[in-house]
Amino acid sequence: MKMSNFLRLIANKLRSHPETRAQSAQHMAPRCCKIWGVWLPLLLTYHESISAIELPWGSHLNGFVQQGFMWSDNNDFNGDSDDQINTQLTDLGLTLSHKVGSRFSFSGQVVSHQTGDIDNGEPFLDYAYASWHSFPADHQLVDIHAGRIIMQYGFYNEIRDIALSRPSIFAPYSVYYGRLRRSMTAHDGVGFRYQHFVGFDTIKIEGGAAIPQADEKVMQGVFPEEIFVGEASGQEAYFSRLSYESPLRSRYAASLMYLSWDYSGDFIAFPGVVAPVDGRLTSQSYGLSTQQHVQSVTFTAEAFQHNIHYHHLLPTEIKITIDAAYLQSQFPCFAVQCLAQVEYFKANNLEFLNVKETSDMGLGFNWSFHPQLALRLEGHRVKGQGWIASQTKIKHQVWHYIVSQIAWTF
Amino acid sequence: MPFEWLKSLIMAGLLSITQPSLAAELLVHSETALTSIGRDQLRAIFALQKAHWSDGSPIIVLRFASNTALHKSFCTQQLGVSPQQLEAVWERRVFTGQGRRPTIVQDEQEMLMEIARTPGAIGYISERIEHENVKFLTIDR
Repeated sequence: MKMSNFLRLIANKLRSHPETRAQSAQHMAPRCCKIWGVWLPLLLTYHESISAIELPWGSHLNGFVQQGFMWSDNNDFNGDSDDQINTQLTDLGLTLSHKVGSRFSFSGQVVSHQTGDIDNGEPFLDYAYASWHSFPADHQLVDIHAGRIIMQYGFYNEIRDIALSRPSIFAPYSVYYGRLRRSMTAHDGVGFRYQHFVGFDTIKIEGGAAIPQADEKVMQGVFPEEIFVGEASGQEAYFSRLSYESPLRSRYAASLMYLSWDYSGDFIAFPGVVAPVDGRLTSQSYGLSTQQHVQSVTFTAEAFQHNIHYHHLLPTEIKITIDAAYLQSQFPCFAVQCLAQVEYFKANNLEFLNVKETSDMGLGFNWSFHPQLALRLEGHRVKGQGWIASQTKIKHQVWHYIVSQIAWTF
Repeated sequence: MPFEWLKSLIMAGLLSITQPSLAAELLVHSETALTSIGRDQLRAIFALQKAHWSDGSPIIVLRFASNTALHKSFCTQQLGVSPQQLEAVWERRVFTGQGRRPTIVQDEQEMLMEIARTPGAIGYISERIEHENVKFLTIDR
């Protein structure tokens, strides 16, 4: 077999990452039951205008429930969405925050994602950290936090997929790269934030060091179990972000993130062909972000580069460089907020990834028909498969999908 | 008629954009040492970026539910953003554990009462009404 074909075979396996892998329809009935199991209590306990639940000792509890519906004309995406409506997109989360005096606070979030058979909805601790802050001067704030800290990167990495925090239903998969998404959000370590107030604007410098998680869910995207059988251990995670924000007008950010895992185990090239491997995976992402509010119109643009390096983990040394960017605008039309989006993705190692350039054009709207409920609908035209799974049903390079989501937050 | 629901939706949309916009008057607790406020400062307060008055006392932000006409008017007229844009900023702070959404009040009477009894409070109502422990601020353009 030619090396290029061999690499393509590996690539196809690697690209079956957990964020976007296809599922079968056999789970549909239980899903529907689960959906109503989620929504029914909410409807029964419906109460207007709750902004948080006050707990004893001054703690606050917030939460969200989101249910998505998806259809695509070709290529399963986040479930069996080809020719039928897929309901396998359910998110639930609870966020607890507690202040102790004016200097200490604690925050934590537990999240459940149901995404077909990729993510079975098992709750996990997203982040949990204790924070100490100080005001060295009127215009300065210093914050040091420790625990499972949020990796600040771009505009949307710090928040899991919470509907009302961004214009689109999904975080743009090109910049918040699907395969690495779960491994980029939060890790155990120490972080700092320095804020300098210039008038009413803010300059913020954030950074941190952590040990990357290496649990099954995190590693599934980078070491698929079909070809890697062994153990990964988190080595180093660093992030830094410099940002400038004029409240409700504009914000700019420059971000950098580095992650590494050591891996020891077996590499399964073909059934029955196993080679022991002992190596390292590193991932480095950096880029620029900007957001502008012009009257009631919001423009957001981010451009990032991802560098992924498999050291001694495959028959040849693999370096992948991915350029990713998107532009979004959100603007009022009638009673809803409309969305227009263009997204672009290009990998240098085309042979390895077996993808061509990918672009995604999307249109949609967000209708906040109740203070705590929002309905979203988006239609996308995609050319290429840059950030979706390689799957048996991929037949078309140009395809379309429609996704809708109803979200409730408190 | 098969598209009756669509017609209703469009009518609801048209009504929501043609409804008369309310004036939104800014009010604070009377102990607050301000008589006017700049637009940028107001944005910083409602974006929850500025948490303390100049004397160091905490700022307590009060608001109406995001689908009320008064809240929409306040956002567009005084802050220069849509309610959804403001909501997105609050969501970011809440779900990263860095802040809490402003407290919702149900009507203008409750807003007056809450501002009057909460030192450091700031909110808005549709017209200026004399009330004990409350004062109105002008917004510098």
